[in-house]
Amino acid sequence: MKEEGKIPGKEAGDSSRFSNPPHGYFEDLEARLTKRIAEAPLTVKRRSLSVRVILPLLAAAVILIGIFILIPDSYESAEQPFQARLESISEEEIVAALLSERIDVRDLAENSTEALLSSSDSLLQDTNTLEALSSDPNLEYIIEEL
Amino acid sequence: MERNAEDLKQTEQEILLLFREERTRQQAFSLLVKTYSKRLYWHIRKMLIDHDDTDDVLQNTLIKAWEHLPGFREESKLYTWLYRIASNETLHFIRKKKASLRSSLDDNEELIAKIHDDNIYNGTAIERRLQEAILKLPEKQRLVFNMRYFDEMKYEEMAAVLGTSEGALKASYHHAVKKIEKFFERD
Repeated sequence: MKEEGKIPGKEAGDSSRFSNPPHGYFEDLEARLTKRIAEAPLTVKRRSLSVRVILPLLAAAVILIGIFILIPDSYESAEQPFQARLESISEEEIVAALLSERIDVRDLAENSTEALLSSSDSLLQDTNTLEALSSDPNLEYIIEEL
Repeated sequence: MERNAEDLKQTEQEILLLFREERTRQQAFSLLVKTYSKRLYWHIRKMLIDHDDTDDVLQNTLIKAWEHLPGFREESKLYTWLYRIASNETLHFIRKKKASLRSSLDDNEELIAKIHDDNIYNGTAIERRLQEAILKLPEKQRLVFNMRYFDEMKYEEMAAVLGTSEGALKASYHHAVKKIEKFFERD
């Protein structure tokens, strides 16, 4: 390889240039790994039991407690201002409010009747016009021309 | 050399065969550790320089290999597969360490200092400079350079280990060599 010639010797990457691992390292390695492997499945089982069973149960319990405690509270808290407001309104105010509603309804009914009457007036006018046209002596001539 | 390759192939077959039976699994693991731990150790050590870091990564590599051996589909050589795990674990370790150090301007200052520590590396001045130049490379390029230059691994094998195309590896190696040359030219 051309480029390699320009780089100092390969000995730099030789493992002998690095300090050796502690004496007996490779001999002990297998024993340490075997120990780790023997411990690992136990850890996994413990974790899986807690992750799969206990934690979901705890989460479900917390959610249920939350539902039973917080939701009635929220109903009460929403209900209370409404009750207080209702109690603070006097009878006169209620009667006045009801009367104003009735007046509004009456106005609406009156307006609708007027609208209906004016529509029937215009219909009557249209009928009269049609009658006048039909009695026109020229009408027969016009139809023939058409 | 050929004899070595043949021996390795036989050992590989033996490990896989022993692993298939529940009662001989421990034996398979023992053989796997005996056969590959030294090679993997030096592969990792060249990247991490420090023995303790190397020990951590090597243990994780062998444990992962053990855990995933049932899923090994024998599409590649066992040793290529082990190198792949070791390389990934090493890169993962470097990234994790960088993240925990909150990455200073020169991330490898600590490693460069170790190269100048006689208890860790005892090469000549020029060899230390080369290691320094290598440590300045981005980690994947460093891995490619070590595998090609020091271990004389074939590009085909490197591609299988690193999951990169041969072309990309050649380009990466070329860039690494150029950077190292520049490093020496500046001296």
